[in-house]
Amino acid sequence: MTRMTAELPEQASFANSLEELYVRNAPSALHLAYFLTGDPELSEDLVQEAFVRVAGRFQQLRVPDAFPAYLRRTIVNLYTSQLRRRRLERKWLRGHEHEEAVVAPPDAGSRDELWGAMALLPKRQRAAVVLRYYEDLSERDAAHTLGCSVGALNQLIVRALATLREHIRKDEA
Amino acid sequence: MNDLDQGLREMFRRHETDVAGPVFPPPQIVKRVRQRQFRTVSAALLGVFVVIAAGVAVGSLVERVDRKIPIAPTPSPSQQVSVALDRPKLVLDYNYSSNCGFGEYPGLAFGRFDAAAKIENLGDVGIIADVTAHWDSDRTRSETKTVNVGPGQSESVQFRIVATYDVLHQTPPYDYTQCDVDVTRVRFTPDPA
Repeated sequence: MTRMTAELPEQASFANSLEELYVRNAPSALHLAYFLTGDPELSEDLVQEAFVRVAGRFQQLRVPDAFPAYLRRTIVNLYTSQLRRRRLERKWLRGHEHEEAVVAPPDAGSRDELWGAMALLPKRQRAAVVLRYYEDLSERDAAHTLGCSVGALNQLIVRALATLREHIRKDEA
Repeated sequence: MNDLDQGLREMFRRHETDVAGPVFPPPQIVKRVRQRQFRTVSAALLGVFVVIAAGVAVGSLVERVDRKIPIAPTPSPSQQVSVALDRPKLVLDYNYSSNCGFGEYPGLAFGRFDAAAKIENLGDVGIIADVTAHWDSDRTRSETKTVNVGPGQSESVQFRIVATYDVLHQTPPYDYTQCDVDVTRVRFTPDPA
């Protein structure tokens, strides 16, 4: 009995520490995932999956300050990895069987041309733009998060910006 | 910073409100994290166990291989002693016999002293014997020879001294047929010393 009462606070503090970790990191991670996927529900799934993976490997205990970076990199990896993305999509679709399978940009019908054009970018180009212009990461950090060289990152951004410019010009015309 | 860069930053700021703010983790997330942490710890423990088991297996294998290598047994001191005891004991033993004679040749005015000895080796080691024959009491008329005799063998040695009458008359007269033949010195061959 004494043992049970001694364990309960430990479990509670463990759960609290996980909750605290989630509350502290989830909002920014959710924005990142949303700008990558363009879908609020899918982004929530992406964040939860990434959180489970990073916290499941005790990354918060190894280097506590690096947890956001680990989480960010895992989100980007899950997003850019075709296999992982497909699995995530299947999982998401199972819960939304009666909804439309193809996720459309939420504001596709609005006049936000830039947002609509973002949805047309290839995944890695989109991730590069989000990391550089939303997360404000340095070239080196963004390249590390994407798992590529700085030169490759710059190539991705140049192509993405060219595509966005082209799309905006067409819309304006 | 060009317009597109600026436009992208503003667009992201604008859409930040599209998703909900802080959210608490659903209960199943905490549960999944715990399950994954359990799997991580289990995998780590399994890995440690596998490494230890592999180490023990390799250690025992090395020990088994070591046992299979034949090693010549080190002779014990008692064995060395027994070898020494097995050596045959060296025995030095011999016997000898001799005879003497004198021959006179008046027409030629000289005489001849003859002696012979036979050495018989009764031991189990070869010997070197010095044999001396002498005829007068002053031992001025004598001769020594050395003979090698193998174990279980015998050797004969001959002595002969020729003397003219003039030489014979230089000494007082005595019985020329009497002589002594002695073995004066015996040693092993090869000499153990």
